[in-house]
Amino acid sequence: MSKANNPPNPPTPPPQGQVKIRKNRKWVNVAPKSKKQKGMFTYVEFTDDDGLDTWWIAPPQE
Amino acid sequence: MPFNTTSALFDQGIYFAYDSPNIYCQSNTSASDYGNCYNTWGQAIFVQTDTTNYPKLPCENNNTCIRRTTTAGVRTLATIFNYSGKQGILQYFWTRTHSLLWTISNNVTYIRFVAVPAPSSSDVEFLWMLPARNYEISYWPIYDPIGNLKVYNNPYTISSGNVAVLRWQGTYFTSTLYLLISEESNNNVWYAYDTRVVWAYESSPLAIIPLDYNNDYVPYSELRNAFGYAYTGIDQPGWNAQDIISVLRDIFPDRAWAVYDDIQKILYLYNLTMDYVPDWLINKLAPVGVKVLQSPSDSSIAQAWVDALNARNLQIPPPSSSV
Repeated sequence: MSKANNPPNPPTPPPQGQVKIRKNRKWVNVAPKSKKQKGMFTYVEFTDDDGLDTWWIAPPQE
Repeated sequence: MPFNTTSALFDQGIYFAYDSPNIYCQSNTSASDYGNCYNTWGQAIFVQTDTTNYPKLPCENNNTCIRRTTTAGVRTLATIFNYSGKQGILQYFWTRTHSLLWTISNNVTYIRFVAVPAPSSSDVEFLWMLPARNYEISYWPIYDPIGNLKVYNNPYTISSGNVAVLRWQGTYFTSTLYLLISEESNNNVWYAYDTRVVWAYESSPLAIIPLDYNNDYVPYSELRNAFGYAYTGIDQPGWNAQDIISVLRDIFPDRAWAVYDDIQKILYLYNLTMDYVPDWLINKLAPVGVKVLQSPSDSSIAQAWVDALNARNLQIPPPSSSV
């Protein structure tokens, strides 16, 4: 079977106290400062690489 | 998503859920209650140019009207949108006006004292949405199946004055849209209106800041180069999110604003925090990420941004503080 037909590897679980988010087409582990429901979505807060306070859509609950 | 659809609300003295309100003002100068407005929701409009004999009207004192001290041939009530280099697609409007003077005649080819959205700032009787003169039915309500325009003449009775309701649905491409009323230079007249306008525009990065068209937006060519204007304060499409951010930083460093990058799906906040972003705006934009460029030093700046957005936009569900 060619590599292209292999299913993608499932993301590994994040370390304790972190969540895994999908950012810039990659899985990234971040340590959330807080979590907030806004409208239809849930966001986690963390400080991004650019130094900005950032809210990102939270991964689905296990 | 190639297009966004949006809507703007205009509630002046009356609002949508008022089914058949008895909103009117007293314009008989001999009456003891001259200059009063009754049963208003918010403020009606009262035109009285004589500031010597009438320095202040009772409705000004109790905030049931906004006084206009000049007359107008065609008054621009609001600029609904003015897109620099882009087009909007007008899809629908519903408008109701209570007024002292009211005339719809010639099968709706003549409209006076009715708030109407139109693409030209001077032409209220814009004929693309009106029935064919002389050839359409002339009893009320008039319905034109080709233009999909329906017009009601006094569908309910008020104590003084008249009621007109227009509803239009179609497709019209334009880069400008205004809310106009034909006053024909009449003095000592009043009106109240509520209007809903729905239009679409190409998906784009957005500048999210409620601006006054004439005072905040028009004087700055940088703003007009960076993004269009919309009454909603949200549907202001530009070309490049970073350009919008840099021009807003320059011109409005002390105001609250947001910029939505429709490619990265990131909402940037300036003098705002996530707490101030209303749920309905999050649902409308569905950002993947929200970044705080700068937190507000004064919460009133951020609150003013939220309050203006809530007043100008249809929210589902409405905020708990609304009537």
